[in-house]
Amino acid sequence: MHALKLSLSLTAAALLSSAVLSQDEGDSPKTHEATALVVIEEAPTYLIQANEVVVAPGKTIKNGQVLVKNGMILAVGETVTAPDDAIVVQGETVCAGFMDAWSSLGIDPASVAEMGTGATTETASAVDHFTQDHFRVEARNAGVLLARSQVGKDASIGGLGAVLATSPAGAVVLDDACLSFTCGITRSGRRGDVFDRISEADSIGSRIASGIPYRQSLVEYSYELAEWDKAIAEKEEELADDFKKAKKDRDKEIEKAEEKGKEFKEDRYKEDKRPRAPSLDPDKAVFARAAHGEIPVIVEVHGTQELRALLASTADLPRLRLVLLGATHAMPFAEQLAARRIPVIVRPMAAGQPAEPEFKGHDLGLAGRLEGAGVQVLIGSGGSVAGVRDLPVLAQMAVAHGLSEKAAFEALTIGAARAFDIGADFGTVEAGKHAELIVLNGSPLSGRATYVFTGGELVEL
Amino acid sequence: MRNTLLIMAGALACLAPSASAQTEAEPYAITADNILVDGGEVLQDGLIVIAGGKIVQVGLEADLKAGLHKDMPVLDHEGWLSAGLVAANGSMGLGSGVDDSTSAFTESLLVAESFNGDHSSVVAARKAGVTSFGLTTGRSNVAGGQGSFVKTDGAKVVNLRTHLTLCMGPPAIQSRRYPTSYSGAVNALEKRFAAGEGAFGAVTAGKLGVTIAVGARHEIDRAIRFCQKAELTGTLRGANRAGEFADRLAEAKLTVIMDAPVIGSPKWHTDSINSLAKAGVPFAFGLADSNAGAGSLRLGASLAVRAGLDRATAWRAITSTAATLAGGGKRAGRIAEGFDADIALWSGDPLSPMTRLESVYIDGALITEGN
Repeated sequence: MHALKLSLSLTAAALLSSAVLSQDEGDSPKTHEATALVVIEEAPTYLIQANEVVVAPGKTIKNGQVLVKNGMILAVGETVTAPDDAIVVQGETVCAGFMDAWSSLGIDPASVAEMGTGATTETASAVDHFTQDHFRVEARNAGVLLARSQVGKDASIGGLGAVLATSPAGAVVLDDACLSFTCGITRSGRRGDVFDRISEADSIGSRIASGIPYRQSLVEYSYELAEWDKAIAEKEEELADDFKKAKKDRDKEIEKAEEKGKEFKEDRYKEDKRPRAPSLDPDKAVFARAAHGEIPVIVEVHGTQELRALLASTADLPRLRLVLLGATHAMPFAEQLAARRIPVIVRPMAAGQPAEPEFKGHDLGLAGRLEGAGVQVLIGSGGSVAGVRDLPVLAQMAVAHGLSEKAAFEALTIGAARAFDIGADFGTVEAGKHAELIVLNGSPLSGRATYVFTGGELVEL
Repeated sequence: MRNTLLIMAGALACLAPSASAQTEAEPYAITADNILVDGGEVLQDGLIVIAGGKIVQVGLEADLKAGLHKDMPVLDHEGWLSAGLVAANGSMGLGSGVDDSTSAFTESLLVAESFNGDHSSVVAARKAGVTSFGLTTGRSNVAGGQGSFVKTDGAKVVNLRTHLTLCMGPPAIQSRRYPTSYSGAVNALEKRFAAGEGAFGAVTAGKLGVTIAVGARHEIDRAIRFCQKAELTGTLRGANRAGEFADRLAEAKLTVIMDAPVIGSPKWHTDSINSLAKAGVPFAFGLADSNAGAGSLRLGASLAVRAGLDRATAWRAITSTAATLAGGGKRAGRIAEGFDADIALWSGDPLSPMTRLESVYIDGALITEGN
């Protein structure tokens, strides 16, 4: 289970400490622990009135209203009860903010290019919203309010990705959004032959699988320790019940031993057999989380051979939540991807003149073809910083080449949020969720954002 | 493609993808839900008539259709029709023949002589809806040669001599040949324009345009001063930061060819575009100085609109203004009577990224399905 973090920067309000939220599986929003949230001054209430409230993909309310306060959605409907002093915001459409599923927004560039990352490397450690702050602002102004960012984007193991907010305050929403791998890519001059690349893809499955026995040894240790603790407790209880008798018996035995000139030997207690803890292995601990589906595994992979090897090496990990990144040549495996519910994050870009053969075929129609084959499609700007701003344009280009508008919108909102386990709090316009919202002058994909609600603030554009 | 041919038995033959046959073929008409005539002007339920590879009539379907000859083939397009896109410059089809490295002054070189109309880059351009472009040399020579205006089908050269390309910055300035400095390049060019011979004389006489390749701010500044001193009116190419000099460019009556914005282009790029538009400096998008493919033209115009540029100016930057700056403005870039029938059919508004290119016609002949 992830620890979800979001700092709310409230207009005309002050926080003595920020709320700490966490989530359960499923999409029902829950606040597990909201500690010491002290609002000194009342935050404004906003009433959004729109010709169309896009609650979720395929679900809209005509002439609807959304009530927002303290960065949360309080109510959604045709008419909602609002206080008299509510600030009214009007627009053509209101929908959930977009999420870039493939970016490096907000990350120190050197960390993005880092090749020495490992399973325990945390992207959140490299968050730098200040050096290139204009990218964050441009993304926010385009309605992209969340982004999954990743360090070590070309490294074999990129480590733990993060979901960041593009709110004015900037925030790490989730610091263990996924475990990232890259294979088969010609990266930083590192070009292996096809056997190297297949081996690399194959090793991803075995690495993740190595977490299973490690987790098993931890579980067994914890069970044995509990048994041992229980036995000790029973023994102590037994001794406490009959302490005097036991002491007398022991004294007699000591006397006898002395009479016979022998050394008295104490009975050995159970603590001498205390179970030994397995050696600590942080990498395997992360792999175990991935193998058990506690965090998704993102693998950037493009070539046919690498895709085949990757899918084969992960086939015996039923709880693994694999997500493919790029997946230029995914179509031959579409049936398997659909059956295994493996989403693909695409970057809808024209093929142009690719520098490397493995990128040939990564065209604008890939998203549509995958959708047609029953594969869930997500959309990302390709690991960039500057391109996050253009995420809605990429989605439009995918729509022009076959992706349905509904699938494109889902890819930018609840689809991405669910893939990274924040669907309970983001991705739709529902009461109880965070008010990360866009108000537009047109449809969600092609309209221009006129207001965004993010991090508890209203930003007029 | 959702085009539906109406009745005519000979219609398919008429639309066969053979340019030479098509230009000699009988007239035909295309109706479309919307015809983007030029810039922001849109004819709803419009109709154009094509004959001999030229547009001979443009108007509303309701006004023109009744007057068509009863045997004229009519193609009904459910979508938008526009002029084919025009890249203000490009080096497609030149392969390695972009520059001749033997001298810093190759002003008499005709770049069209290196043009290969079947090159994959030309094919990719027409598949992206680009029907013509300003063929130009690179920027490796101080005087690089004379550009042409060409079509993307059949290696057709519309205008053999359109402009002379100059460069007073890197990479034309090299330590192993004269001139070796910016000031040396300026001085050498001033002498040649003063002598008024050959291509330089043609420029000063107004018979040949001039394009100056620039990049960094100091190159733009130097080019403006050079043009004002030599009393030249021409075009700065690759001038993505030209917006920072918008007022000076307007005063000097210079025009600009810049890279089209792409996904992730810096904000200063679109800010620069908006500044040029505000100052009234004519500008268009080109491909010669960009690594982006031909598809970047339409995407760039769309991104510019998204960044605040008005639709008409954005559209002209990839059609009529581009054709004008490239030396083909009297024949390409507009849906108007007398213009070449270089046409693109779209699934919707071509300035929307959600729109798909469906068909491309050059000189009235169906050339390709879009990508």
